[in-house]
Amino acid sequence: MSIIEQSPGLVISALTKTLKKIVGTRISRGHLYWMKGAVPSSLENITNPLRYRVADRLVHWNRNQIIITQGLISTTASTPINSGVATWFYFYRIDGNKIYQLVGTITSTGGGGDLELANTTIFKDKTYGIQEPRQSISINPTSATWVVEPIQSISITPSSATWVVEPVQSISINPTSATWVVEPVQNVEIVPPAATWEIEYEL
Amino acid sequence: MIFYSNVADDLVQDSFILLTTMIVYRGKQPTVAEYITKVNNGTYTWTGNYLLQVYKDVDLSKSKVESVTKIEKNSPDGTSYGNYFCQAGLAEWAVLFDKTTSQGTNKLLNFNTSPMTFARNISENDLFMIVPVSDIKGLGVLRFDSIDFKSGNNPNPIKRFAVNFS
Repeated sequence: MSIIEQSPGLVISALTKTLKKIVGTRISRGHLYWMKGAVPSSLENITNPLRYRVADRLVHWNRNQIIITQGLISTTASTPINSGVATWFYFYRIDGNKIYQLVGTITSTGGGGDLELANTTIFKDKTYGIQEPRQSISINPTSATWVVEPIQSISITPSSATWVVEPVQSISINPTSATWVVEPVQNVEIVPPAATWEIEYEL
Repeated sequence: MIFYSNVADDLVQDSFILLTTMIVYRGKQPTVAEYITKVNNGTYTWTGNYLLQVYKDVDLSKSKVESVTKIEKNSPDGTSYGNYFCQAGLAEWAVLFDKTTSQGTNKLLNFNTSPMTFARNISENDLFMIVPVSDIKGLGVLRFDSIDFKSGNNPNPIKRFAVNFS
């Protein structure tokens, strides 16, 4: 099956926008650190970047010292906070209730790190900066997974209603009122219709 | 490299939702390098033998299902997005261009001349993505009722478009 292919320009454009979002504008509280010690395997436990592994920070750049061009990051020079061996870098920016973070590995040249340094040992009496970036980060949406969704759905509009129940049939009486006349069904016929009744008295 | 958790959502919102011009082609899907070469020599332009139809300003939207963010065509039914039919053929692949490529002084796609031309040579620095095409039952990123494109006023509406990011 054919695959999705992106132009390098599209990847760089998307990456640049994402990196800028991580680091923010020149007035943002965005920070880049080179760090020592174990590289974190997850960002989930970093709930307060301001205080996260402060003792492991070696070199620090504020947002206004970070330059992002065409997916590449460079910085101005900065004096280390501590001496030590840099093993990972850490970006973070706090924007309201959102925390933008990026963690990557640092190795010596050819070591395959996300950032490669000629010498990973940081000395406190020197200055450091990223001036000739040669690597960019690639983000590949071709590894995206497909989500199976129903192609069709049934919708009910409006979603709620008040039902009025009415009788389908009714019985009507016309006229609605009347005077009933009761008539005998059978007559008693006296034959002969006229007669003289004789009344006798007994004394 | 570990990015913040919402990076896929921001990538889609800031960049990939802008891929609103879609050019559908027939033939074997090329690599990025092959596409650049064959646009610049005229093979993949309007006057070549492979370009079938162009869709301009396709309405895309962003959504999120669990951890997967996607861009997809917003309207449920196909629309023509302009009458940019070029020639008949079996659609196999398409190129999605960032909408900024039709703007500014260095624009790549020109819709002012009839019907659509490449205003200059394309390069790898231009913003585009090559994707497979299929019918509605297939697995293409861009899907149609039928990949058999024919002429007419509105012959080949897009039925589905979706790219997922996670």
